[in-house]
Amino acid sequence: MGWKYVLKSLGNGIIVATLLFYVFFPLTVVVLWSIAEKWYPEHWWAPQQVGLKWFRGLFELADVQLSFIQTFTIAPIVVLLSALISIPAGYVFGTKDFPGKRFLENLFLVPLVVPAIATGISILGIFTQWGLRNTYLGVILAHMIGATPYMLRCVSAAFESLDPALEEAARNLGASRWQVIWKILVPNIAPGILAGSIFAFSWSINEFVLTLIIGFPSITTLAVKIYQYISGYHITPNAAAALSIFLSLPSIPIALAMEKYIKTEYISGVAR
Amino acid sequence: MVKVTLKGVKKRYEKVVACDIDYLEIKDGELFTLLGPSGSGKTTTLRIIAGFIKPDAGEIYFDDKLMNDVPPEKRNTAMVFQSYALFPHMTVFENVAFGLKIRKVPEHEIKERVKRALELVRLSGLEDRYPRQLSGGQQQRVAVARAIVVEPDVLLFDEPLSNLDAKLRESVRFELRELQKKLGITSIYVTHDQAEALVISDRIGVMNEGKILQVGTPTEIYERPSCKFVADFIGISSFIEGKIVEVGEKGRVVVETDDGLLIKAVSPTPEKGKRVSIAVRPEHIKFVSEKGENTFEGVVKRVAYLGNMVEYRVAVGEWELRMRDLPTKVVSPGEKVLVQLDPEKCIALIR
Repeated sequence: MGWKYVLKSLGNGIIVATLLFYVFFPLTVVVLWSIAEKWYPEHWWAPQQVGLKWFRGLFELADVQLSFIQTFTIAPIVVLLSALISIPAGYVFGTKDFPGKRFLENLFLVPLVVPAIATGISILGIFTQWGLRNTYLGVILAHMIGATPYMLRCVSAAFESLDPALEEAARNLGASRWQVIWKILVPNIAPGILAGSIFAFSWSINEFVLTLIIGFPSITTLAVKIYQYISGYHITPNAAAALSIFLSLPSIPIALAMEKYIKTEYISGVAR
Repeated sequence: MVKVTLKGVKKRYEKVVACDIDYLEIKDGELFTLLGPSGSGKTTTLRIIAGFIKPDAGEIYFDDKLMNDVPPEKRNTAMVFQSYALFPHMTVFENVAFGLKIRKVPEHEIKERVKRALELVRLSGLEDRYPRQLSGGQQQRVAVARAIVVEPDVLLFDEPLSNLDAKLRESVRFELRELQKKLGITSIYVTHDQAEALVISDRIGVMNEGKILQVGTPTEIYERPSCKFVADFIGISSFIEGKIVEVGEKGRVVVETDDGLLIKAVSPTPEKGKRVSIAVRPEHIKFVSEKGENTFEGVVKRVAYLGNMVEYRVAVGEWELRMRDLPTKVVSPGEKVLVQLDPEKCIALIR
């Protein structure tokens, strides 16, 4: 006890307060922007009039509706395709040993390390040549560059945590290779697939740079749409704020579900 | 029920010979144990029989049917794994029913057979539990039930008791043996625990470095080991090195040790001039009060009190003999003693 204790508590308090401010201040501003119907600079501390005008406005705009449709069509397809690639690949990475395995695993992470703008420039040429520019397929493939490594990490971590004897036990009891996969392996790695899907889904709805480079102007997902509202001649930060709130809404139940149902090892598999 | 035959089966991993068996026949309905230290190839052999490993050469027969190209799911074997390998997402009932469902057995028959299997392993009433809700011993019994319920031609056990604690392991040995006798299914059992092998087996095959060194009943293996490795690996043996100087009837020999002692022994390969190791069990050496046949002077080196027995290490010449005696009179270290080796139980082995 004494002054040392007081000083220590004070120090801790300041650190926590700073962190909270850092995390929540931008969020608060976004929320305020999205509900501010009137907010003049002279009255900077709070909006004069609040309401859901910007939200209502969003749904009336045809281009925003299209953005919604595009965003939530592309994301599930990205999840599905990256899962289809990652389940067999994750099986091999998670259960087999072969020379160069570590190297290959790390190679798959390269797209996450290389700045999106560099990837974007390099794939722009190829995609243009293949006629993938301004197409759904082009944007889906671009999103998969980032989404698949996450999915693969989660799925192979799930496979790695399985007892290798499970597969043999099932074969031994008469199950064919396919029966082993569907009846034994997939149910047991489902949490890993779910974790991977969440990462892949949020990657897809948040992807901005590649979507802009490959998809614009035909494909404008919500992330790109928000950017349009805060750039160019017609700036409406309130609409952008309302849209960002919408974009972050799916994350809340997902974050809660992750906390509750998914083993941390699958998530940490991503960071490994 | 089937007879399992291996002919010239070989498997090597890079430089290591994992399995090299000229001929091995496992009889219809017997419990055959592959016993050996870790890395001796016993599990490899078991997995070759199950079909998980393809041998480099040789043939595997179930009765007269060549099994080499039959995939594991078509061999009608059932394995109890060391880790049990219970399916974590299935209840006890679903685990046991799995093999029957795959075989498309009608629903009502599945119920009946699962019930009977669970009764046999004394797990009735736990049908709806998940494996993680069971103790190690219960999980092990689910694994056994899951294997026997499909009425396999061959039961395979891969160190099924090694994850249980010592007390439980001893009682489960007897249960497994009784169950196997009741069902009469040809069984192949892998273990590195020689005491377990002696208790559970009809016959034992002792393995080392991929080869089967000796096949025999527990008594044959223990009392008449065919080589030094077997004598050393099963039970306790003391070894005395020397060469055969005299050959008598029925394999009786006299061995002159390197330091000049003359020891009477028996040998499976009695041949004058051959170098041999004499293997002798602790229970075949005893303290005596006066000189007689095969009696030697020695000095007690170490004494270990085991409760029901006292273990001694006695130096005779340059050899150290392990022996046991009742704890009625305890001899102290440093004392001079006379020890007698039972000539019929001293086995002179070439290798």
